[in-house]
Amino acid sequence: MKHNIFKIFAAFALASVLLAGCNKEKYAKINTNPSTVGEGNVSRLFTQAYLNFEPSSYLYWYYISKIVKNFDQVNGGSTSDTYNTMGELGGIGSQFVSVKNYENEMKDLISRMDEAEQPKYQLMVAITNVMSTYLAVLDSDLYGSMPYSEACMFRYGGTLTPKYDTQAELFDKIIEELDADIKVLSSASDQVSPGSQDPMYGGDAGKWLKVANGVKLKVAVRLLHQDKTKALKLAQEVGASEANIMTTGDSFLYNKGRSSDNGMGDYAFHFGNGVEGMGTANKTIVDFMKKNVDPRCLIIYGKNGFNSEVIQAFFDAQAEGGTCEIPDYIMADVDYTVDGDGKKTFVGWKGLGEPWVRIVGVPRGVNISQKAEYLSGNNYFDSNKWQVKLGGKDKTYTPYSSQNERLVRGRCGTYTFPTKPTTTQQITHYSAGVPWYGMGMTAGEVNLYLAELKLAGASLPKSAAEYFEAGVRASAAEYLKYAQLNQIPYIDKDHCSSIADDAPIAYGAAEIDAMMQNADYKLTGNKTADLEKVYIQQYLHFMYQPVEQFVSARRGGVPMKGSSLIPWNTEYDPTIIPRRLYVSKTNETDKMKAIKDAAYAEEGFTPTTGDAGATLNTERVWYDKGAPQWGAGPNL
Amino acid sequence: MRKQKLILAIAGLFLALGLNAQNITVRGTVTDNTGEPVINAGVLVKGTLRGVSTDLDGNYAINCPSDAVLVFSFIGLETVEMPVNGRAQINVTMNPDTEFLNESVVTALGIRRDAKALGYAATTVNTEELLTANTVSPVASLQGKVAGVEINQSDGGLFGSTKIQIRGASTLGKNNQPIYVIDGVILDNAISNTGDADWDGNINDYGNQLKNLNPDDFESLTVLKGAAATALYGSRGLNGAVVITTKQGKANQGIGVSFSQTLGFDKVYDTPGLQSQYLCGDFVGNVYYGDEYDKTGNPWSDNFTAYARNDAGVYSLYEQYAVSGWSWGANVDNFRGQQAELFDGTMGTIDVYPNRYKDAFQMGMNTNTHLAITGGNDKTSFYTSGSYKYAEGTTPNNTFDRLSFLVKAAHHITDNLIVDASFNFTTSTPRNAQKNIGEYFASSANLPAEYNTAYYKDKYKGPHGGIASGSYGDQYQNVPAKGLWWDVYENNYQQVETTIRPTLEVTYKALPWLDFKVGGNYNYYIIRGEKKNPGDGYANQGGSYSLSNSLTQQMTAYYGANANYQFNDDFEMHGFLRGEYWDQRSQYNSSSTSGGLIIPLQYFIGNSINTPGQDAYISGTKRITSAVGAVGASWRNQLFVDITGRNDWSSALVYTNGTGNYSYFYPSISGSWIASETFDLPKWVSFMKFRASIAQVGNDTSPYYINSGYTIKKSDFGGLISSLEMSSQIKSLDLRPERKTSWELGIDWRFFSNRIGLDFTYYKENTRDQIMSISVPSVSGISSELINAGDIQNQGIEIALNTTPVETRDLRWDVDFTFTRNRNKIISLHEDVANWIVLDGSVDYGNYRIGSVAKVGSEYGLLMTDSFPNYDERTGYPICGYTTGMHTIFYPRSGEVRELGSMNPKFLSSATTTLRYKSLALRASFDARFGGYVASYNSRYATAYGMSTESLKYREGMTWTSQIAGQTYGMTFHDGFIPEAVFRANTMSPLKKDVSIAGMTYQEAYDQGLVEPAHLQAYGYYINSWGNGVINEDWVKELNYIALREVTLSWSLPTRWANAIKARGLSLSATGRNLAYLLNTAPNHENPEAVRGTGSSNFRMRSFSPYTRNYLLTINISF
Repeated sequence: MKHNIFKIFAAFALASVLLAGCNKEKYAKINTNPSTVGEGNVSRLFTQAYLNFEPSSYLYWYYISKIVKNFDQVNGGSTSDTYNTMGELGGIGSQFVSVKNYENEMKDLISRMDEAEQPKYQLMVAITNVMSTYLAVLDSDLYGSMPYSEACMFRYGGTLTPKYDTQAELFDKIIEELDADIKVLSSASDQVSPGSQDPMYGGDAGKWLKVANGVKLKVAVRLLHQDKTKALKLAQEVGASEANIMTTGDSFLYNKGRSSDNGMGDYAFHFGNGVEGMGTANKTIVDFMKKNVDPRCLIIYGKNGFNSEVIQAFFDAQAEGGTCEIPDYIMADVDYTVDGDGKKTFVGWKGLGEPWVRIVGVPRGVNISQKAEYLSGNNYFDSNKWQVKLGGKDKTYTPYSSQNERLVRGRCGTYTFPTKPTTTQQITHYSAGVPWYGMGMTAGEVNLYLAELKLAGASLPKSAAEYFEAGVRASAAEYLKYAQLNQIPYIDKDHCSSIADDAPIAYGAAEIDAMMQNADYKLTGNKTADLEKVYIQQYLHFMYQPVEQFVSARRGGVPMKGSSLIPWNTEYDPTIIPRRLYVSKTNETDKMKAIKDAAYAEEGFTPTTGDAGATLNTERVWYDKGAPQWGAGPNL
Repeated sequence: MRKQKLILAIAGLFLALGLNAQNITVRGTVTDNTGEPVINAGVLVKGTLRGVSTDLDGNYAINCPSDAVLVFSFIGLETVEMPVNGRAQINVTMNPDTEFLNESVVTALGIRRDAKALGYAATTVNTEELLTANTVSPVASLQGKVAGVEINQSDGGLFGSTKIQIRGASTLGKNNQPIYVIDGVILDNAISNTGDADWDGNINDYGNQLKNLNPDDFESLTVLKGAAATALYGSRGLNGAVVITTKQGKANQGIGVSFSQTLGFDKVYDTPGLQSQYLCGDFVGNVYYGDEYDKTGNPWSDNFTAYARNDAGVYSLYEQYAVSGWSWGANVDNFRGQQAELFDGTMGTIDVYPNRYKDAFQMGMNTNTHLAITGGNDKTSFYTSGSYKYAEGTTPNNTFDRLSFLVKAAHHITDNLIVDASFNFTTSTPRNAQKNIGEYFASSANLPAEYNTAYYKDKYKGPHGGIASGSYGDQYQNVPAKGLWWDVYENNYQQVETTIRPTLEVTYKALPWLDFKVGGNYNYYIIRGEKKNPGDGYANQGGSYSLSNSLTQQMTAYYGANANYQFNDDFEMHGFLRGEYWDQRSQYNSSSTSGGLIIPLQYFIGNSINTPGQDAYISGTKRITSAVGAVGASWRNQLFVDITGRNDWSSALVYTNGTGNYSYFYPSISGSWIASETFDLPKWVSFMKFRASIAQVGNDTSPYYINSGYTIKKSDFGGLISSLEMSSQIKSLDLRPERKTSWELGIDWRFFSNRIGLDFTYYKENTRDQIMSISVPSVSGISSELINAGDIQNQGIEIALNTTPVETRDLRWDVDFTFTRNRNKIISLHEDVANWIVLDGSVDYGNYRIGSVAKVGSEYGLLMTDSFPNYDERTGYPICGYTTGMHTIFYPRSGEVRELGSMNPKFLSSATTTLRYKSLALRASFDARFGGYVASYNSRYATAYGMSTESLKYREGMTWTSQIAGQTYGMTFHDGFIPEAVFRANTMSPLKKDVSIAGMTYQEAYDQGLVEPAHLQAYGYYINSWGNGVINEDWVKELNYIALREVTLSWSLPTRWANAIKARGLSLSATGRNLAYLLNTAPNHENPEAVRGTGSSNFRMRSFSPYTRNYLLTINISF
């Protein structure tokens, strides 16, 4: 018996040791997630970098775009007396990080390859760098100094707390990187092409070269008030070769596929949640564009609710004794007859007719919704006012236009056409197979920058007027393509309602030519006037890139007080309107506190909340110092 | 036969060693005072090591000298010494030990220990009391019963999770809940998988696997609190353990049958505060509707007399709701009884419905049927039971059922070789987890006082079957909250959860003082989810269907040796060695339709319009092997000491490359001294014990957590293009196991024949080297680091005071109290953490703008926020802004993150009183929480929108006539007040052009004629709005409550009545649970136990939960 016990004890002790000791390799296998990939791959990382390229995320549209469009008077409507304040922020400031991380990871992988292999991968790195520099410029626009030169390096032995580069340092660094990229893109040979792993250009280095030069121009125009010489030099470098300059066919209208399995919901469609209040059309802008028959107006703004059928429904309800009314400013465009009983019949549209009459802007002013002149037939502000009851059913109609949410977000769901109360017509947006397309670098942007730089004194092969015309024409063509790719309502007959005169908004070369005939769309050689026109066109072109639009308005002082084109609304005191986003007092929990505090001090920034308008107007980011006050007009 | 004789002869020889007198064989039966046989009672020849145990029938046979003295002992019974005096038959009756009645305790690894020997705190809960609670979660039933344990219901509803936390939060991870161990099978107690309280309205809480436990089968439940108590459970016992053993069979005379039936009802009896005095409408300055508007076109018209009319000129509920979804409108006294168009287009009168939220609920009903059969012979005993529980929640379509079987058997293959086996099968079906209906009344749909829930809740469909819509001219198109009722009545999700848990253990009693065990168990946990949502479009177009399966399989195998050696009367030693092997695997797969269903209302994956979505993966693979040992000794029944040690080797700490600190050892030592045995104390001191322990527990981490890799992504660009995504986290390559060190001191003193008992514990615990993810500046290229860091300290006291003020033959009155106070402190974090890290919420964003944080030097769960106003130094008043749009003030948020207070309770307490008269018992229990802040989303917005009771204080105030140029000029208002506030810089007088009022108090500016009274209604809105809201008592408060948790009346019927129906026993009980809150300081009369989820850092209320009482009737019959 005792013998047995000893045996059992011995077995026990031995088993314990065996159990514990010899299975570390097995444990390594057990503890490795079978659904993850251990080895990196340069071209697949490259694709992810492209997918991560995000200049305008959900929070950008939800917060930032609304803030800046309020400050530079893009939107119409009644604002409160706190028009110069801002609440939450988000969406830019460090967008470059999610691309830069991949750029650095690719570099790290490449550095561990055979030396002979390494040079073959420079193309993909260069393209990735073009995207990260594009984002870095944007990140810096509203906040100033930021970490860049030391950023995104912790994985590779770098710092957890990268230093802030001043905008001067940042731009130097970006130009240095871009020049290196341009060298690779313009002369690379023996490169592993990303091919289909590059969904944008299929690895076409020539097209990426134009994007790289476009980013360079972004930097150049931003330098105009601080280092004009350098700005002009950069412009000349870009302008030296036509191969550097983007044309309409090459524009960077990107998409992220029509679905993805990355668990981020509607990521491929940009984002899932709606961004209510994309921006109400500003009457001043709409009137300017209509006056010049600028067809971009039809794409930038959606049609209002008053089509011919709806107008007739109001007439019918009135004939039945209903109290409903049509807004005066819509009736002004309606041609109708009145029969013996006083019943009205819609005959047609006056003025520019469909689709133009359906684009209606709203006046802008402080608390103007309470002004007597806007309370009755001229009311834009009471969303319940324009209601009709017909056939026992109610419907309320929006009399004015707003910016198209469908251009910044895919798969918005069904679009319901305005119809009389008793009928319904809908169209499903992105029902299948259509990805969302975003607007990145465009030929419109590039050429309008060149026009600006030429007027500022750059020595460029073409005249400012030529760049200007190319820019505006490209912009019109690109807007059309942007809308067609996104299949917005009314873009063609297939996307219109069945109401007979519901006209498609697509346009052709003739419409663009007609627009270009207007004096407001021609440069005349008067530098100040020409500069205003260039900035006005940038202002219009950047309707769907609100931060670029803000930067351009800030650089040019346009819209300008007293202008005959698009005037600055003087109810708003320009000196208390911020020219950058606020920075909060740094939290103690922020590991970057000391670095941030020092950077803010160096820039002369006071940490504030969003209601310090005067401070945020005077304490400007570096490259904005010397730029004109809001509405003051160009000072180059 | 010959062989048997030979064995017997050898055995006899073996036993005969040391014999020197004439031996005889003594036989007999040991029973307790109820006549039940005592199984496994020790029968020892006094002064020797020779002994046997009684069998399943209480029988024994022992060879001993004819003049020996036999010592009969059993835990919980008084030891009996019986001289043999030559007798061959000695039957013994053992009486309960009056000092240690029921005080054997099941400790870690299922080892039953004498309570007096324990050097640490452990609380055993009467399992009968758990049954009267009748909760789906076995955690909820413990509420108020155990000192040192914080238990809170969550907002999870019928089968949602319940938070249980022992001695504070010891890790910065969200889950600080103890494990549950049932018959040696360790069950994880996962925290509820709920959405963020900031962004997810619905709780969607289906509870965890504990809901599959059947309390009917519980025999004992012990809460092990400190590290010394749980050290033997190893890493998984870091947060304590609740150890449950199930009932087992007894050798009985015949078969025993017991049956119980319960019938319960749940009734919503109250709701958080909703006002029913003011109708739908806006505050002055925003009144774009109604009678006055038609005449004057002025949004400043009197909102108390205005109400929108339809085209026919009749008041219309819908028109009013459409123009203003808030409830700042007219006093109902001005409109009650007026003819109006109702939401469904019919005509009726305007009225208010104070029960509108309560009317959303139904009477919940539940039944539980339990049948158990036990029995056995001299070789085998068994216990088998079946239970079925069915419950309907108070929300329609919210149901739960559970079918549970347990079969347990023990068989003596030989006298020395025993096999124990059990098999548990449970399948439960939670269906349609509780929805956040309250939010529709408080803030999302803003259902106004004139919304009659009872009338409208079934009016959401069009005749075509989808949601009523104006597009199809449906009658109910304008009825609010159609989506809510569609979700409640039409959408359907259920998950069928199956648990299969077999156990097997073989014991070999090698010697009276030594046995060996080998055993193992499995825990299979399978969840099969199915979602059927009909399309809400025209004729049910749309819709979705999904199926999911998740399987987790855990296996434990162990073997070991136990020894228990009595050297002499004074000195005993015991100990064990044990090896363990634990292995876990899980996998998941799901399919779901995409883009709607081809044929509406038909639910199968192939009915998907687009290619169905699918997901499948292996997860949670983990293995731990362990070696465990313990040694202990006792001396003269007054000094006890135990030393344990355990070493774990965990796969979760091994890197893909095969490195890793995966082996960790942790020891414990505990001891107790029974002073009342050592000293001759006054007679009124019945018992005096001191105890102390010190222990360490190690912990690993989640599977795969320390390893990283790329994730494959695929995007459809016409063809699929794949990409590789990097992790945003960098993981330390030298992670160590976490370590918790704890010590505790305690006393257990009893006086006046145990009429007063005091149990006091002081503990201090430090958790160090936590494996945690810390946020780092994302410009570094990573957003978080996985590191070892931190030192969290918890110290506190636990007091249990048990008294029996009255005790006579027929009457006994017990009053028991517990008191728990835990103090938490973050001693250190990590060098890469600047100062504090956010645990839950956000300090400067979101709806709450409050975060619970871990800040060095402060408590775990300190709340911080950027939403205090700034304060004026001169007056101490808050600094306000003035809005010329609304003619009132608001408080700009400071934007600076400041401390708000702690979310942790200052102390918890409970009291239970039981009055027994003969066979009648009446028990009432109370529990209380004092201190700790909570914040409520819905109280905030319901106040901003005029829905809450709190909003009533912002309605009427001073009357004055406005002199401000513009629309208000000459108008008289009735909602004025003079705020105690100071104007911020750049504020100009609304009355006198170009005169600054910056720096003045409102009163000063008012006195100088520079301002008029501020509008109170708009103020009530602004201070609680998303954009301008600040911390205030409308929605952020320190929470104190006292709950009348339970009242139970039970009656054991006289035996002769039972016998009349051929039963041995018959008892009845009636219980009311969650009956009332005697004190409740939650904001806006919210349910104080409705904090979102069960994570330890949750302080945010989101669900606007109603108050529900539970009633239960139970009948127990045994045959």
